[in-house]
Amino acid sequence: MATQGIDPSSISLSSNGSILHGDPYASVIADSLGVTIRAGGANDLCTNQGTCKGTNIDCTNSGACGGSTNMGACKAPQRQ
Amino acid sequence: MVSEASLAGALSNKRFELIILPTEKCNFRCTYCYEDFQIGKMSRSTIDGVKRLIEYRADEVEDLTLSWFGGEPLLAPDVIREIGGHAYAVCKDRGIQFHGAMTTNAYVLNSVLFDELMAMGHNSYQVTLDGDRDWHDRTRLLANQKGTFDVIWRNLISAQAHPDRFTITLRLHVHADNIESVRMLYRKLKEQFGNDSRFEMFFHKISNLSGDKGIPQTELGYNEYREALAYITDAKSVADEVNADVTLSDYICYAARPNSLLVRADGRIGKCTVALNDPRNDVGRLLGDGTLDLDQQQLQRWFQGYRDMHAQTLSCPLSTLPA
Repeated sequence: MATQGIDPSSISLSSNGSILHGDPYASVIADSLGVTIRAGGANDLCTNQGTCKGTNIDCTNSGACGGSTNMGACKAPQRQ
Repeated sequence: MVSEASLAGALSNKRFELIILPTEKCNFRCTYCYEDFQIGKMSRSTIDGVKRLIEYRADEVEDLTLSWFGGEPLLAPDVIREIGGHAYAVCKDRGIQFHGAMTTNAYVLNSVLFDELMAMGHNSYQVTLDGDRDWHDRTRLLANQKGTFDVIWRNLISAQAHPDRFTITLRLHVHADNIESVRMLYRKLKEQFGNDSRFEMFFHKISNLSGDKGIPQTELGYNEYREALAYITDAKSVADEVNADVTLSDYICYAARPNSLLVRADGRIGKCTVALNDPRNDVGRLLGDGTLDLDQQQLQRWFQGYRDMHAQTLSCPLSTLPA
């Protein structure tokens, strides 16, 4: 789990889209990305990572959750 | 609290995502749509800019995702061919993982075009259905008000004949008035695609986002929605063990990720695909030489969730964005 917050004003982008981190914690975290996990983007769909039990309200992942399209976090519904 | 793995994925320069709107025109007029279709096809300058930007980022990234959005992106197939083909070639040349994804209504996604897109690494699609033909053709209409279900269904079956691995995720819209229709559709989909793991389904609770102009659609409450899904899928109940609060807490929306940018057809840079007409979403411009002219303060508004790792703000920065 993330252990501390990051000041948003310490995050900027260069003119070629490279992220510039002014916060050392953010730098360390960013550099720690080892295994490339597929980003979801606008196509964020059934993105369960880790424990996936039963049928998710939005994603209905009732089967195996280890596939390439089931990485990341699970988008949960808003409670009414 | 968000995990460090999710945080790393959002903050890393090893990953880069462009959500590209090659045109903001659409051949559909879904009765609940929030877009205004004012901006047309991407200009030459912006196309060149996107290609150059991809080249710049290729020096650093290990994983590049192009996510096509619109309007209907396949109304500008030449733009997708040019940018998508370029990105695919650059990534292949540099050993970068490439992911091509698209949110499309699939109306023009015939087998020839599908084969062409697959050949350049575009193997992930999201297609929306509003129910079986009866309901879908009431709400997902062409601009000339004709229904679209039969053509989409034909294109999905054509795609199924493709020999290679892809993912077509079928987003099934559910509201209080179409439950029976979605149930029929669900059975039809299970019969046609149930044994083909390349096809996935997920349900989405819909409401009318177009203001007064659409057919009113009654949004289901949380418990009603769970009951509806259980009925549609013939499940005894939707599993209780899914804890929405826990799962929501580790999701960082693309709009909150510094390594994800939205490129609009007119070259404007944004963060969110929902707030297209919201000035808070204009964070800069992409120039023809591939450089970004960004308003850092405007951009940083989308990163507010990192301050205290606020789950809701990270999962949907728009929901808490100050006016």
